[in-house]
Amino acid sequence: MTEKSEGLTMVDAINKTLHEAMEHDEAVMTIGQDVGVDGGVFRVTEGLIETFGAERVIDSPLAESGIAGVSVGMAMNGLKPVAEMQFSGFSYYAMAQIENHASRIRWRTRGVHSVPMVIRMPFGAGVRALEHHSESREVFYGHMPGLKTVIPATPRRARALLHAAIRDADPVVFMEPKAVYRKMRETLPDDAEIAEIGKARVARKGETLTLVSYGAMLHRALEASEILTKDGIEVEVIDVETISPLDAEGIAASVARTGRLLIVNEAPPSYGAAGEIAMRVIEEEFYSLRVPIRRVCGWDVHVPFFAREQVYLPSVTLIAEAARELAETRG
Amino acid sequence: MKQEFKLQDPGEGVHEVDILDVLVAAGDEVSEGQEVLTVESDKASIDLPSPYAGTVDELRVKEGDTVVIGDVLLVVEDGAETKDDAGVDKPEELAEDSEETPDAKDCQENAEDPREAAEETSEQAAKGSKEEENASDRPDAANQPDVPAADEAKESGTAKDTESEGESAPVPASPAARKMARTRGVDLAEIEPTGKDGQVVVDDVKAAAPTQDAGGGQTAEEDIFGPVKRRRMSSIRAATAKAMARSWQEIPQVVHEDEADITELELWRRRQGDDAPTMTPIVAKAAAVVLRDHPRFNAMLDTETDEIVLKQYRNINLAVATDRGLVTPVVRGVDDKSVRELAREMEELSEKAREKKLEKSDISSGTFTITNIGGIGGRGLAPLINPPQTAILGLARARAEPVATGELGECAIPETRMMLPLVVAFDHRVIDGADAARFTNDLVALLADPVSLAMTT
Amino acid sequence: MTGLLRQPSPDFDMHKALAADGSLLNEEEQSVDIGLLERMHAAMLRARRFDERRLRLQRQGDLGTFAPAKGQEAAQVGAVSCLEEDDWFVPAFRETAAALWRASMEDLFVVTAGWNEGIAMQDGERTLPDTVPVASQLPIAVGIAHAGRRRGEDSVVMTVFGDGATSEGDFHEAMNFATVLGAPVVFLCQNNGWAISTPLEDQTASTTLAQKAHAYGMPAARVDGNDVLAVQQVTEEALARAREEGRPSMIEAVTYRMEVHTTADDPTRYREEQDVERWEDYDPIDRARLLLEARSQLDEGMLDSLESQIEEDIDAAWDAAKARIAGFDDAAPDAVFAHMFEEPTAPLRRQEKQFAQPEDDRDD
Repeated sequence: MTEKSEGLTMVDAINKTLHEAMEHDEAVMTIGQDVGVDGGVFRVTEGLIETFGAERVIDSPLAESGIAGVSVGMAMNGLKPVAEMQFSGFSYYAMAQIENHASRIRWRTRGVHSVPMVIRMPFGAGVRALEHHSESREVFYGHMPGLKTVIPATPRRARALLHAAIRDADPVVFMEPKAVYRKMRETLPDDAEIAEIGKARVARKGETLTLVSYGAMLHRALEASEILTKDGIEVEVIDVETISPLDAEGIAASVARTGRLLIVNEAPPSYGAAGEIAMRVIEEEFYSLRVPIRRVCGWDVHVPFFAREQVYLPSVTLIAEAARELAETRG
Repeated sequence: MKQEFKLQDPGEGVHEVDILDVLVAAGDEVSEGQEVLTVESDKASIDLPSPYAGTVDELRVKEGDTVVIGDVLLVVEDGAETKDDAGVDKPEELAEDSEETPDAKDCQENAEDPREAAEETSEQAAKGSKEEENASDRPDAANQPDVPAADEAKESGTAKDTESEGESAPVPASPAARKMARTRGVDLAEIEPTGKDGQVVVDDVKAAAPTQDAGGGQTAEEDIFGPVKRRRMSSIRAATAKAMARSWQEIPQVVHEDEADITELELWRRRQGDDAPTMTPIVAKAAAVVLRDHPRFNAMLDTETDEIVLKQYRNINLAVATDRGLVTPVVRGVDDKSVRELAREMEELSEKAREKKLEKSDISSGTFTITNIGGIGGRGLAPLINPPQTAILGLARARAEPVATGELGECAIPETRMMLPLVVAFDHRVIDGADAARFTNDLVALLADPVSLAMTT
Repeated sequence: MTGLLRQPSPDFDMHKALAADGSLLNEEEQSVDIGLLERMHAAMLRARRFDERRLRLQRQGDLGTFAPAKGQEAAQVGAVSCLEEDDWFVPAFRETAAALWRASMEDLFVVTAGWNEGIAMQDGERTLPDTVPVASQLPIAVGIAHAGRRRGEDSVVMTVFGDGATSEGDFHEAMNFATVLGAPVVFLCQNNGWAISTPLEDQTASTTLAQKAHAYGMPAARVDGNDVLAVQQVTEEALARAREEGRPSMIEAVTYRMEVHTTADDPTRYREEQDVERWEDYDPIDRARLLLEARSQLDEGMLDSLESQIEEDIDAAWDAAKARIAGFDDAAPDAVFAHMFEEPTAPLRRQEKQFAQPEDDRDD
């Protein structure tokens, strides 16, 4: 792992986190396809096997359900596995183990056993990848009781959230926006920060309108905000970070001030996280709303082959337009 | 250097105004005399011009605010370095107002005060009660008395329609606006909407109920008997309240009732088709004629000098119900205008009244008032005189009625005639009952005889 | 060219210790622990009677659906009796007899009556609750075993599954992981001939199930599942291998599902009564009893008192279960909301409050 003076990418940050966590706690180990000798197809697990050995960094057979199920068993018996799904599009093989067991064992055994495991997976579009490598299905996991789902948007937050996920006594799905993997660098503090899972983060303060987003789209939201500030529209941008459990109170508190809410994500709109966030804000702060809640999402189609990838994703212009319209509608 | 534009005293006992519209933004260049704010005092809206030229440095007010005399409205950076005369202290508009302000201190202030009966009626209309039904289905189906009534509805009842409609259809408003209206004790239907498609927006609620103090803004409260609601009075309502109380207290008012046979007039009107003027301009014209012969009805009592001031001109106030209360714009020089001219002018004034665009000049200098409740309903009324005037004419709903003709004792054959109930309330300090009876007789006679009316005017 | 493709040639004799009539085969080669056999026989009988009672109670409406294990008692008891206290037992959902060896009847009654509270195991954190999705427990068993080794334990994991499970992806993934990682797991397959209505010949074209282990480089044995001694012998070898070498093996115990798949099933729709009846000749409990009788360890009187004791135990357990159930609150929020996470999350706390106060008092 190289640490350039200008900061770490998200890949670097996650790598650093794994090193730190495995250093700090012997029970923490990594398992996944190509994570050991190859250092992971995105190089996220680079250097781990050299440092910690093959017992703690397992190059597993090609079997997502097996990876997840074996990780459940290991977590039940004293280890803290950080399992990798090579791409979120292949994680569905593992969903049965996650839904049927990882999310249930504490509940099923009345607390006698628990599953302190993390399942990491790159997700989302934006790197011109092949089919199945660009989906955004966080709601599949967000919908499961007994499971936590976390999505970092920046290198620094990836570190803080992954540390929190590894320390969590319960299973956490950690979805990494691959479009951000190498897109930006941040200087990280020396000491590891531990985020609070379940608390949204205010990425930008503002008074005119609340814009809620996460993952790669958070950066587009921030860009759109910079465009609008020239016209006196000050957008408050909130990074959801934890899909489940959602920080509804935190988001609603912002809407209580602004009265206007726009939700931006790249997932298909139908039955997506934007709908859930909207509903929770309605439950908390209906009477603060001055205009209807709006969302800017992907579409109810499969992400096109990569030539049309950017056409599918909500553009900065689209986001800014939607925000402007909300800001300028009197209510 | 920064110049503060403060609200000046517009006279006429006005202490505060509501900001209706801010016409400039921070950073704008303004010239001296350029209109920068629209404010409303009582029932007139005024555009305030900037006394300074320069750049708007800071706006201290926004739409919906209530400001008192002396408040700084905005700050202009005039670019001057020293304290030279960069501008005048008094906006020009006020000079204009001073012209308008007559010597008699009470005259202007009260010239536009509404009538009690019309006020009651507009309140009833606001509650969306039976007026709605009356307006839409006339009980007197014998022939069509609807026509005059409906026409009157256009002038004085249209605002009523707005109010009634506001009650029956849901008012579009965001949750935030609705909650604010609830909290401030304002009925959404009574708020002037400025949002898209008639939506009441938060700013509108603030404009209707700018301050949220304990007295005016509370929602459901209780007294010792049960739940109550508090509503803050709008400026129009407050002014009306003051004027009507004063009228009641100071003027010994007597009402003389009669009815005019307007059958011929009505038939004439029908022959004009779509072009037909409504009854109000016709009655106004007739009244102007009669007032020439009965000058005490077109006068003012100067209690300080114990003089009756007989006005030698006839400016007639017409009561117009708006959704914010009753306003009485004035038609000047009724003598010199034809019925058609009067009709047109009255239409324009009603329009302005409903759109909150009445200016000071529109509501001052009246000498006599006519109030017509016929568009909504009623057999008669007891209107309150509009101080400092000495009389007021009230019209109720015309209806077709059987009227006996012929001599008593002989065969009295009822004919169907269109009868218009009218009342004259008069200041008994200045006018006696006999005067009123004669005044009314003359008016009734003129209305019954369109040819004479035409010849005399 | 032909002959390049090699046919599978599984070489799997079925290991037996008892004849159908309960007499010992190869008497010289076997030493029988009579005390253990007595206990195993009693355990099998207890399991049989317990399931019979559950069936009756289910039809009365007192219990919900479950999977009776009639006919498979030896395959379960013979294996589980070899386990040590520290060893893990990871079942599917038909392991009544094995469960009763390690857990209480009362708990099983409570679970079958539909209460989460019944899952709370007595001692035996290491006897896991039933797993419903077929074969999904297998990778978990491998993970548990691997973690135990990493922690320096010499405990092993025994996981049980049926013939149908060997078609599931998880079976193959687990077998593969177990051999690649080297995990101390005994994969005990109870081949009872049926996956609901699917007979073995429709489930797989493999001659045996044991041979599937060979595809993963794993040793396997095939055993007469209704022969409690045979099962025990094979299991001991598998356990030794797991414990001493840390490596997995598979046992295919050939048996028969004498009863319904679950209480919601009607086997007359897909199999003949005479097929079932044929297997009665191989009843595992009878064979064990016959051997005990032959060794003068059991007579009619003792059998009767054993039966009575079992009956009493079942009655007592059911009474105790009923008493416990009576104390449960249907709508107890903590029963519904507990144990989702180590600490309840904010949305859960909110929902629990709402759940507890349905009418007024709602926060939002």
